[in-house]
Amino acid sequence: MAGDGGAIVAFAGLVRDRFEDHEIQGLQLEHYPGMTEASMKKIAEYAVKKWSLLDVLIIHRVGLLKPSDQIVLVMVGSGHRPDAFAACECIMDFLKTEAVFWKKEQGPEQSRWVESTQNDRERRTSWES
Amino acid sequence: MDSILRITVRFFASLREIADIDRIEIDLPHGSGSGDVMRALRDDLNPDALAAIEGDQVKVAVNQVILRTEQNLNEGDEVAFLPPITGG
Repeated sequence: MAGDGGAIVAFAGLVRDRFEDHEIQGLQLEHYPGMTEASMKKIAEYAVKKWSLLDVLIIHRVGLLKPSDQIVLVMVGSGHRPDAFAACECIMDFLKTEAVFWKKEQGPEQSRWVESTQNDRERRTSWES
Repeated sequence: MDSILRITVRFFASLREIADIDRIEIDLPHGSGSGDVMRALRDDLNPDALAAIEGDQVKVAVNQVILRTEQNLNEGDEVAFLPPITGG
């Protein structure tokens, strides 16, 4: 960021150790090399068009993660904080519904593939209004 | 010699588990479209996997682009069946 940068907002997402009343021991993240990166680039480009941003960084992990591990880091730089806060939140909402990843929660007795929730989809749609 | 197209078909996440395979190469007659892949897979996948890839929420990508409509396939194309995605 050059001298006109006045704000950097960062979000780090962590693996939780519970889902509802189930213990989570690990989270397996799968991706489609090439298509996944393209989907993240598209999300970043959407944010860059919508707000006045100086830089966007998205790092998303794949493979087997454990509770408290970082899954994702989003950093957004802007001249002023409102654009940086909004863009960071928007990017996260889009990652939940548009990024090409699959997540499998592994518990002591069962595992399940995670899907985006109705809330995730509503949050994502809200950015288009 | 160009009458056959060799296509790679890939399965991800839950679909890979149900199909018990992550990729397969299939031969299709020249001029085949994306819709013909399903028919060609009938001999290769178990019934549960066939039902799963036809699910409403499954998206099909050709060369990493989600299909909106039926599309003709070319030699070497990669067709992927994608269950619902979520990141973050």
